[in-house]
Amino acid sequence: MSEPSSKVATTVYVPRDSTAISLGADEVAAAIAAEAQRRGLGVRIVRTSSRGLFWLEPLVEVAGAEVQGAGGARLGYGPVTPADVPGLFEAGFHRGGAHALALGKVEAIPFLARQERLTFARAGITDPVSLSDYEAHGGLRGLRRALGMAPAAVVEEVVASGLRGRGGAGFPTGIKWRTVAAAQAPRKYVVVNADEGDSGTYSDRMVMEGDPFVLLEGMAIAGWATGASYGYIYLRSEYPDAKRVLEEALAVLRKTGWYGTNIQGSGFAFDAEVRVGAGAYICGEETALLESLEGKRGMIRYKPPLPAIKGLFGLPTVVNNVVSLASVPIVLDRGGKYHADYGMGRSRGTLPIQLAGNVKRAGLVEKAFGVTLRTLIEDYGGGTRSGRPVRAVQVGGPLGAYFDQSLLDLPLDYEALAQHKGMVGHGGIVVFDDTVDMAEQARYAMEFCAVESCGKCTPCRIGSTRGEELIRRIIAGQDVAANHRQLLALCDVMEHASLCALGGMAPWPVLSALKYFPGDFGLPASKEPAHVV
Amino acid sequence: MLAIPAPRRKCHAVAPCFPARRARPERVASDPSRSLSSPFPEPGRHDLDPFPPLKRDSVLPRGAGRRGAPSLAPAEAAKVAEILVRHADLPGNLLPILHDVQHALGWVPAGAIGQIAKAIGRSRAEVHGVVTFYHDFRQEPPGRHVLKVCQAESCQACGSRELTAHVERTLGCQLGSTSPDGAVTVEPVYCLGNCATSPAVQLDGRLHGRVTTAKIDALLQQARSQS
Repeated sequence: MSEPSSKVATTVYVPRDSTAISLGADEVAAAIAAEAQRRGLGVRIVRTSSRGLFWLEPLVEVAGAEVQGAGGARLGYGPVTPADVPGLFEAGFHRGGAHALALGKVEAIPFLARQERLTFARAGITDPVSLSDYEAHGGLRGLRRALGMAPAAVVEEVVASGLRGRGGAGFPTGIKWRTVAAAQAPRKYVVVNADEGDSGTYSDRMVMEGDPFVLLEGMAIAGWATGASYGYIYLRSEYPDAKRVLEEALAVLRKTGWYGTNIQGSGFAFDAEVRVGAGAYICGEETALLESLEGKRGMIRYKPPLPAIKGLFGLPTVVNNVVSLASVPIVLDRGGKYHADYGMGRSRGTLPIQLAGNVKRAGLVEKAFGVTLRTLIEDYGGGTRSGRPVRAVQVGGPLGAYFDQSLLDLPLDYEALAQHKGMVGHGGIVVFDDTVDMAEQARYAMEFCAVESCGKCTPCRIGSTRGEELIRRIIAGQDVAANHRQLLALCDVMEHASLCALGGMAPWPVLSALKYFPGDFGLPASKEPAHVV
Repeated sequence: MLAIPAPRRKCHAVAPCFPARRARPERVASDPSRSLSSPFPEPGRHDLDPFPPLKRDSVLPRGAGRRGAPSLAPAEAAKVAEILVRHADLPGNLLPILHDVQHALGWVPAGAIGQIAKAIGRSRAEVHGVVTFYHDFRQEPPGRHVLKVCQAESCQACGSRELTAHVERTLGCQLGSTSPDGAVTVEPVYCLGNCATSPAVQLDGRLHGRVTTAKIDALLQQARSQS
């Protein structure tokens, strides 16, 4: 998407990420092109992905020989509206001119400078569908190295990296691959779980829209390692832009021989397609996802058999989250140990954390495991957008626990959060200010479970509806003590008797809200009941 | 390997519990000794998919309005038939078919279900079950514009409840219904992935962030003026 010109002095980068577009990035790009033409300036516009500094979007960056004081780095201006564009040209922004929206060198912005970007190394820098950009920034090195190794050695490299599934469950990716590799079958599949339904999360979307090749490279490596030859990306229907970008990227890879029947002459065959879901949260659960791919209702399956043994169409299937697979190329490129050197305890590598909700500087923070919630919310996030005090924080999506101020010093790590009945989940952090009514949030948690339950098991199907009713009665002040007791008992049943995480974890936000914010339910702040750990 | 018998599921792996209209080749997927000629699911090859390919004349509806469902207009039935032929070779093709039908007609009419079921060799109940399971598939025609308002936590933290109430008041209809003038259908959605700039809405497929009541009023007015 460049503007050919006889004399191109400056390159202007405008994101094509859907959040940036939702704030007017397309209009800004059009305004820049029109204004440059009107002034007869040679300006090349490149549509990149987003850096993940969303409070600055649309963030326009400039680079080129004529740009003053950058030393080759990109200078940023943002947030830009189409109305700002003439003023920016007046100030000479295409030569690095001073302007009220000027941000200086983008990579020196503290929010970005203090991150450890491995998976998102290219975010905001490259044109998402330019393979030459991708290769120039370290792309395809992982797949090249993998194809020169024995498949079993690739699996062991991933095991050594300590990479755990980034979708929520945190299962070691290498172990899953080992199981699929050992299975004997006429065909195996790689299925990408791109049904990122958790509120407060957008890292999968950023990978798919911003750096699709890294996901597709990770899929091909998974195929080579496990003996799978075909991949499906199960994408949620709420992400139409990601579908377009992925399909463009797939076409590029097929054309250049990186996907197809004989990848780069290695004899290895791998191809993939994008399949779109239909708005069911439960399809983020891997077995429900497989059912949906087979064209059925997204009802979860009993396990065992594991999908690694009997998955899609009854064949061995690797089911991995987008970010898990996008983390694989760098593991193969730099070696498992390089990845394992990041992180703490049993949580190795980096985690893309997504700051969302009522937070001043919302965006993507990729850091090694172990950073505290307070650092993330206060130092990176800058507190709430409304300027009011932080009251509650939900970590890990709609099934994650609500924490109050007292727990903000917890490090983000699978085990540390699990001790407090919380979860890292997909790394989303939603911040609420002091106007939040936690009883209403708890009621919503049950309502959401009722709306999204697949209906296979009774605790989830019936329990969620009854739970919502009980909370409604507690809020209305009807027989509070008895309804509270019954709610705790119901949560206990749901937690222990549901088939999957939806019913099993829907009680977590409810119990944590009861535990840390009893006043919102009209309950006395008493010692915690036996049910709550 | 495991003593617990697998639960009986109503799927084509077991004997069909309804009269089969089409011959169902036995499923061979899990036989490791069988080798496949291609590493990919091939168009026209059904090694792993239990249903043989379709011909166009077999996908047009046979009788109109059978079993109470209102029949489709011939033009609509032809569109559905074209979609069915296009996806005939795709393994697990029901969701892609339903998406395309909704894209072509705006919704999935009850009259299309029999036609789809017949073409893919599954019962009408199964297809109806799939249509009703997924929130995306509409069983009623939508208004001229579709507005999806995010109801999830991140947007709640940024005032989506107030925004939703404002939209309902302005349009004079509840979430999940169409305004009385037929202009706008409002639907709830649980996360648009735009959580860094909540609250978010999607109007006719286009995403908008940091939506205020003034912004939504302007968007709705602009949409209404176009039709």
